[in-house]
Amino acid sequence: MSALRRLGMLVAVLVLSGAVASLAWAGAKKYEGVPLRVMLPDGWTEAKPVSNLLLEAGKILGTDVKISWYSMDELHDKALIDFTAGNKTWDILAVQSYNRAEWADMGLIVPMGKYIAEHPDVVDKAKLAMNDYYDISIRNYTHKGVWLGAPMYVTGVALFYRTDLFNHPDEKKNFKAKYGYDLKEPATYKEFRDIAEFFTRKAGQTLAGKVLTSDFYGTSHSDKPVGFLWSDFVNYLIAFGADDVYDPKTMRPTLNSPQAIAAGNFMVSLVPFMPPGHLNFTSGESTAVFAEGSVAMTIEYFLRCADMVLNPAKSKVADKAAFTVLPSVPGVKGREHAAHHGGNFLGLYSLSGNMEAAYKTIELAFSKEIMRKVYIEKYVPYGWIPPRPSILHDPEIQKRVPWMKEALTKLMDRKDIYYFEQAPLPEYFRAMDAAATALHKAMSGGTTVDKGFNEAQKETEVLFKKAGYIK
Amino acid sequence: MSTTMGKRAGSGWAGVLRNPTLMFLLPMGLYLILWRAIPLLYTVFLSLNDWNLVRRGGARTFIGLDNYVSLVWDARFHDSLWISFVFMVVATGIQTVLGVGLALATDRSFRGKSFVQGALLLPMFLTPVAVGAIWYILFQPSIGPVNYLLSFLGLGPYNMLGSASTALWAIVIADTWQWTPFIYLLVLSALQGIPETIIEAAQIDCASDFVIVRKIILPLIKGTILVAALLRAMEAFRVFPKIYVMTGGGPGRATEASGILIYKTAFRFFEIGYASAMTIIMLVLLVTAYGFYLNVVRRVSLEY
Repeated sequence: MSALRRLGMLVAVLVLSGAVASLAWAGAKKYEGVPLRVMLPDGWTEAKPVSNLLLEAGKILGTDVKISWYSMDELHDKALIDFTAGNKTWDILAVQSYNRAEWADMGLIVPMGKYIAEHPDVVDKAKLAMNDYYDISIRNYTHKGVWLGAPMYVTGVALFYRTDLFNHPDEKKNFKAKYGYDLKEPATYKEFRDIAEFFTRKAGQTLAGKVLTSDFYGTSHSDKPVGFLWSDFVNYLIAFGADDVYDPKTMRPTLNSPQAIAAGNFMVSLVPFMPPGHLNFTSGESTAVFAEGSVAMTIEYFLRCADMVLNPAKSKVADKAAFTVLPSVPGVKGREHAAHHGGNFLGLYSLSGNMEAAYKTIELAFSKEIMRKVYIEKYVPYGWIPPRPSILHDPEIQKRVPWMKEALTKLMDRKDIYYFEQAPLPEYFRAMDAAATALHKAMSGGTTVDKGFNEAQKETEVLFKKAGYIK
Repeated sequence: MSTTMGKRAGSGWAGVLRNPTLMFLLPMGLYLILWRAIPLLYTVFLSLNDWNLVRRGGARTFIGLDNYVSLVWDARFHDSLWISFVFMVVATGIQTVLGVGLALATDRSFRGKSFVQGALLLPMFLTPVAVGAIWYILFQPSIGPVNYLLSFLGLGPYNMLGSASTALWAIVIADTWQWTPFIYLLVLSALQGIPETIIEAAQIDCASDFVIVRKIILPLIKGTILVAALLRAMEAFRVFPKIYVMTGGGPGRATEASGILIYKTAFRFFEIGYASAMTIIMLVLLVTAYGFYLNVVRRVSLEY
């Protein structure tokens, strides 16, 4: 090959590379300067990491990502009011799992699956990588067969407990003497209650060989009505074999079913073993009580506890806390270790004027590359659990996150956990309000579960009749 | 006069613009129409509709008085009105007694008077949400100072916000802390308006302090006390932010006052029509109270 020919080829390669690069650049900068208004909930552990994903994607695409923070309730109200008023203010917003049907049915969000189906030319399937999510993440955020949005994290509710107490020889001995079986991770809710009762002590009594200077409690829950309380209670409700508010086959409310009442009575029976003030605890407050060392067990979202309990910078019990699956109720088949998966997703606001840029920003933000980069740079080892299994199984991540392997084995990859999501019904919030309010009243001693749930049943029947589900 | 002016000025908008009386009234008239009359009429209109933002794609249906008929049988709404009423009576009563007492106690010369009066008025300048948050922490059973004190005295800890029988009282305490200064301020200014000679004459006649207060001072300021109490009562009936922050209406529905229920119905359940009907009923009750207030003011002015 002559030198001239080689030079010609080199020039051709350079020109071609230049052309490809400029095409790629043009593609990347197609959305340069497009403003994207994002509504996120302040206080959700996963919200900050997701905001950073979006900002990172915005930097690459050139979109001008502006995040607005609201409290959980404010976000819900504002989104609905803005949508009803026809305000095009927003492009992307966080959707709480129990609002997903309401928002999808009223058209507040454009389901991501629908957008993808209608705009195949816009979609980059490699970045979207739908096969790199846990089934539960896709299943939970699918409504009427359509995927609604990008999951903001993975893992549901787990049981956290104090290993120093569970392994203390005196405590083990005393427990066995009192209850007739060994003190260990509770496998059933009866055992859970026994352990909660056993560890509830007054100041001046001894706990694990030390005299207590303040009262100590068996368990802590977030019982502030209605969302916090219901998110805790729904684990019992499902584990005890009840429907989540209604029977999907008949569409009849089942709040006063024997199983629901049994679950309610169980929750009320835990009240003496909870710290004072639990009736107004948010999820953060309940976890904080465990993290400060005043409680033996807590049932909480793993993501929150990973950040607040396992993190030595925030927790006094980081070195003596362990986690496991939730207990079960013997005889309730198919609902072993029933745990609310919860979680929230990022959706496309239907009135957005920049839908394509919004979609592309989410697509890129949730790509494995950006997710891994943001996770490693900012949130390893405690601040977040990205929803992509490939990241969680990444050897480097496993090396840097001490609890990751155990969490994968015990929670995310385990197949015998009945993960569930709250029922997708526009009226769910109101039915939940009726039932949670009744339960709250029963927990404060104002009524019985039986009476409260019967009243809630009547209220929900009226609601369902009005909605046309039943006659 | 107005007819003459009207004729001179011409008719229609041109007439209004040339008429100084109407011109001066125009801004207020516009304000009343835009900010008061139109929203009120729109709320009345909404109250005659079945409008749920979530159901049927947010479609609105005219249903006449159905929402009002439903409210007649709505036990939850009746309970909420009762809670608002109890809160109004108890909170206003305590605040009035305390406000009058403090005004009487500080209406004299003593060292640090300005500081004491300033400190007494301070809570009034806080927003109700901030007051709610402060008292939520104060009443917190584990870390709250109130329970620490109760425990120290061997009386606690007691979860006031977590008990159906005490939660409303906890909110009354927070409201009293914030609004007693309002009554105090009005009564103090009334006390300072009483001529010294009247008190001196009574003292010359050897009347005791108690007799002076009961027979002279209180009758002279009773109009102010009534007006202050009525103003507070109307505000207390609409209580919302403190309950929202401190209990959210719980435990159960023990503190679900009408304001909270209307908020939930409108912004949690998105039953806009039904919430509007509740609002109109609340408004009717408050207008009735306001009519009573105006009557009292008129009678008091006549007495003076």
